[in-house]
Amino acid sequence: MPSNMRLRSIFLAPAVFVMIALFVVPLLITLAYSFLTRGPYGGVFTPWTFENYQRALDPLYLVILWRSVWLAAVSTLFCLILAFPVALYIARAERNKALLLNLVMLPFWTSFLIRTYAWMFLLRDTGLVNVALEGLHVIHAPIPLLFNDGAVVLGLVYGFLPFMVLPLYATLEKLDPALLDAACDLGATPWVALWRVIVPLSKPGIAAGCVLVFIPCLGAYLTPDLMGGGKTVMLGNLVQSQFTTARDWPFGAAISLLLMLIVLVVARALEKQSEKLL
Amino acid sequence: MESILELLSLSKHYSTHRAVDDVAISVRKAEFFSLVGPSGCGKTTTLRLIAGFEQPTSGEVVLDGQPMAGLAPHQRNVSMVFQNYALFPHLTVEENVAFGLERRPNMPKQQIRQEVGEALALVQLSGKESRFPNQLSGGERQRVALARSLVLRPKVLLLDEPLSALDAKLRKEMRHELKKLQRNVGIAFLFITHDQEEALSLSDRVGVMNKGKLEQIGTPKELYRQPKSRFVAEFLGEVNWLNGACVRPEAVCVSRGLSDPAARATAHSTIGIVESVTFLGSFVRLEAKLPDGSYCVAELSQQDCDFAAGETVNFWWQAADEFRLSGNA
Repeated sequence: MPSNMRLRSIFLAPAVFVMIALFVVPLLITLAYSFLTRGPYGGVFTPWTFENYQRALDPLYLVILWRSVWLAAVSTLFCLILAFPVALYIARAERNKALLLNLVMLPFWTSFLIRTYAWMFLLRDTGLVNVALEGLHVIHAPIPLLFNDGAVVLGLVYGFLPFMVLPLYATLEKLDPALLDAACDLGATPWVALWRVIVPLSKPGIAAGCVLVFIPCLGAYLTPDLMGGGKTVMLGNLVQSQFTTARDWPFGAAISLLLMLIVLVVARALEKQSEKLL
Repeated sequence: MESILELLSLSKHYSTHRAVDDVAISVRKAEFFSLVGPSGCGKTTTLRLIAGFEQPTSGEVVLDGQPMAGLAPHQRNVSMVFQNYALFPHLTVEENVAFGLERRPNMPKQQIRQEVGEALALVQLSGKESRFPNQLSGGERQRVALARSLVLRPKVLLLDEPLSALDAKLRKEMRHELKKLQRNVGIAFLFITHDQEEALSLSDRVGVMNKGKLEQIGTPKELYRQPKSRFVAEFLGEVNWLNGACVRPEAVCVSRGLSDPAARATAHSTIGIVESVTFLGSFVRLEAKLPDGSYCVAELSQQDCDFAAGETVNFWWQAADEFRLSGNA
């Protein structure tokens, strides 16, 4: 073996070991579990069966699946709408680009859990928002801001917005500013120029941002659990409840794998979108 | 002759410098006008002021009798060919050229197609309608950019160093074509370049810019033969400073002694010692040191030059070929 090959293997070995031991093996275990039968007190037993997957397609669970996809899609859309102007502004800023990007990433300096609790304090019946609105006599009784789908979307948008801003910024920053000038010069109003030139050319960034936001949103667990009011709101919570309270590991494993499948399909579709342009 | 574009003491000042300082130009109808100057002289800023991408600090842009103040770029009937063409990479050649026409209200699709076809024929790109810009050569991209602007029949076409992205051989070809195109369409071209040869060979008139100021306007011949300032004289070509007069290298003749009757007849001559003789293809460049310590450069044809370094030679020139600077020489 040539010496540089050996050197390469030495440096690669730890990463390969970690990936196999902590990712591939657990995934195979999950796959095996999903075809087994639950025991009376949890755990997994033979016989092998497809029953878990059949059960996952029960309308009861399809509703949760649908709601997960729907909430993740709505959150992604809001992120896109909010992030685009921000990314465009930073990309076109003449100075302080680094500072502005750091501000976008500033929330990461604090634990996501703590930030989610902060939102709960703001939104609960006796939270700042309701108290302020009552104090101003805008409302007479607290409005339910927390423990509903709206709160989940708010939490997801808040949490994943930076993941949309960054890839959009990366694409927009590379666009030749002369393209916008050219569009305006040819008679396009600034809005038309944005819609016909800037947006189509930032498709790779839009696709990347949507992947980075939609996927974690679909599998979100913490936000729907805390801000959704402890009901089984999204797939992540369903998986968690199967492994804990319901003690049905095979069914939880089957849902986990279905979730992964959806993610793969969506990610592949969006990837193709961005490839078309590159 | 009637003017189509007037810049009235146009200025653009930034906090650190004056990019454009009190520039007054009047471009005539169907004229090929070049603005030439070193990089950073304010020529591109001038163009951007005309297109409406920048607002002047003072002064005015008047297009066909209409003041342009307060009009956004999309409201001005000028069009620009950008330095790197700025073609829309996600649109085909045809869609690029149609972009401007599609922005016009009530333009029938049929008419758009027809005019795009005509514009592409004009720049000899018929048959490449469905290509994308990244499938075209540099010269073809340049033509698409020209067609995209010309299809709108602007009152003035602004060209921002459009030839600088091409390689040397193609640049000379395109130069010729650009001139022909301009004669064909009869639209005034305002052409910007830092290449004095380009400006002199293409233009009806040239304006020379330096540090935001317009140094001189004139026909290429006027500027070359009677420059008003040292900057203009030296920017447009090499100059020999001989006895307080200026002579271009190609106007200098060289001989051994003054036996030549033609040489004897001319009033102006000096002697010098040849320092170097350089073969440059179509001509030979001879550099010599004069008694006063200055240098003289002569460009000679191959046959006229059998001189060697170290030789003492005579330089002589016709009085009509020399010029004196009136101003800050």
